[in-house]
Amino acid sequence: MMKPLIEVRNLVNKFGAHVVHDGLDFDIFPREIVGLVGGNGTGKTVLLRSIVGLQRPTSGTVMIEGKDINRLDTKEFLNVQRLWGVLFQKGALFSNLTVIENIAFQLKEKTTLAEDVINKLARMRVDMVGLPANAGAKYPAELSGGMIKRAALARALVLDPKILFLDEPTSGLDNVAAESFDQLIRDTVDYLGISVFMITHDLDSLYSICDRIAVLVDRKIRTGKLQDHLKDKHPWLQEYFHNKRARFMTRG
Amino acid sequence: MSLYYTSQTGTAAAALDLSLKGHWSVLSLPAIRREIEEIPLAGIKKMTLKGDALEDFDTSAAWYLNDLLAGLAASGIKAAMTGFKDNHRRVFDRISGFRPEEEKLPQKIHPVRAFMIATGRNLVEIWKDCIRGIGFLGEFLAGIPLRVFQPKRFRFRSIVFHINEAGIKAIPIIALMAFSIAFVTGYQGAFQLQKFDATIYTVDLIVLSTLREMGVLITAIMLAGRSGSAFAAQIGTMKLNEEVDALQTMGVSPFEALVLPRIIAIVISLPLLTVIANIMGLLGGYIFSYSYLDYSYVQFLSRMQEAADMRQFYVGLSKAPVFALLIGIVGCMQGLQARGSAEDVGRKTITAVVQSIFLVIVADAIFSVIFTKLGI
Repeated sequence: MMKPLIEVRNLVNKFGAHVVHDGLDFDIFPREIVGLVGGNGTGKTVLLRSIVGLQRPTSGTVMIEGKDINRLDTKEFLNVQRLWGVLFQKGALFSNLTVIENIAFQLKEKTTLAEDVINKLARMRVDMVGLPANAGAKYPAELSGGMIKRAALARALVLDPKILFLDEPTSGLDNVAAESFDQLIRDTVDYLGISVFMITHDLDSLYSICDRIAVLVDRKIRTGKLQDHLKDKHPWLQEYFHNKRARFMTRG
Repeated sequence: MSLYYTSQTGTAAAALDLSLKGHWSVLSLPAIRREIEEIPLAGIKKMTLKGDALEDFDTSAAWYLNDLLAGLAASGIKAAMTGFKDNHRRVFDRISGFRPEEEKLPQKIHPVRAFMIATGRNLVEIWKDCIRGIGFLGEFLAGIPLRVFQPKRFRFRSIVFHINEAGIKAIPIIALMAFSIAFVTGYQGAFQLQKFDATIYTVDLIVLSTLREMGVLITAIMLAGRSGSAFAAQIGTMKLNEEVDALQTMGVSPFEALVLPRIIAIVISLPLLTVIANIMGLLGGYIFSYSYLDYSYVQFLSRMQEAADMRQFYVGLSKAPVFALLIGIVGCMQGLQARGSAEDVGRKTITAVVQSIFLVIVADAIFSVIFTKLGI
């Protein structure tokens, strides 16, 4: 059995009296793509934010490579932070920087590389995520939705993280753009050998690129392959995987 | 001893074997480059790079290795890679397929030419701003009579909200500023007037400057900074968030929903705040006269009545709606111009404040000339 890259144990998140997660356990293993689904307001984003340390859970532990991220001092935390890259839902590119500058940002902050090397590395990544060469000099406001996602992916990958967190990577993209973005993720993940944890509502992504699917129901997580979830009798899962759109996909 | 490779002279003459080792990653890349660049290459014709001892090999390292091989080939050294682990080899093969886009060097422009271009652009921008401003004013004025007949469309709640934001919440700071400025004016004036034995005229100085100029000017500049900026930032953010477009698609004019209430609110607030500023200025003047010149309030009031009549008060107050209109129009107009990014909202906010303060001062100068010519 492979050692998990990320272990979430007994996670509890409460906002006032509202309990979002109640004793949630969850693992992410190396080299797998895990998709997270769940109804609106079930705390998918809260879970992601707890894992990457943007939000301190009410109780429970989040471990990456065996280290509890909430018990690290600042310096150690900076080191584990390098292990993940995050692609936010709207890209969250810095609007005052060009695409190249966005990608180069962490290289400038975290390494002592010479300016021209940083520049070349950043420009290589423009090509790596399939952006046209002239996109590098553009500002985020001049990019289309799909290009923003690609630029944000390049930025998230710039320090070669071991795990990539994606919050609804294909939301707001048309079918063709979504499909090609999915393929880009699958392909990139395969040759880099990294893990991906993605929140998604895109059934296409779930079926085509996810190795495992995690479902957030009743404040806990159920993981499994698609087939396992199809057999699950829980009403929400029944609804989710057996509604008209889903049936259309599984019949495939 | 190097951390990232071990070398041995190759079996053939003029050959070098490098066995790469350790963590070849983006963080160690500067050190790797330093070590590799120190390898003496004189007389080397052939090079073998072994990768079996590598622990880490990330995309940045792969890119560097690819770059290195290209460099070696260019200087006539045949280099080959052997023994790389499968996953490293895979990364290298993919990365070597990506080409960094060629950097386009910005065309060099003569500084004088650049200056001329910038000046021209700015002039055109200023001209466009003027036209837009006049258009805005027209739209505002044209909108007023329509609403007098349709009071329902006056958006009473919105106007009251903005009067609270722009007017009532500004009272403390404006009161404090007017008080201090009058106090300082008195302080500076008294010691000059003392030389002519005319300290009693300090009261004239304070009263006239407060009523005619300082009261309204301080209020206007304060509101330009406080509300002009807020208008630009609020409307600008709504514009970025497509809220302005949403209004438009619902058939509600953004001008009517966003701009009019704000301008009406500031046109109502600024004169009222001016009255408060005047009162506080006179109070500041009195406190100064009392504490430094030992005037009783009877003395102060009688001198004040001799120095100024209601006309002085009206002169100051008559400027207030005009200043308010300038601040409101510039703030809202800049907000609606925002496009693209959060940075642009910031830039438009700055422009709104700078332009409205500038326009207020220009308008004040014009008023001065008019009032002087009219002998008021």
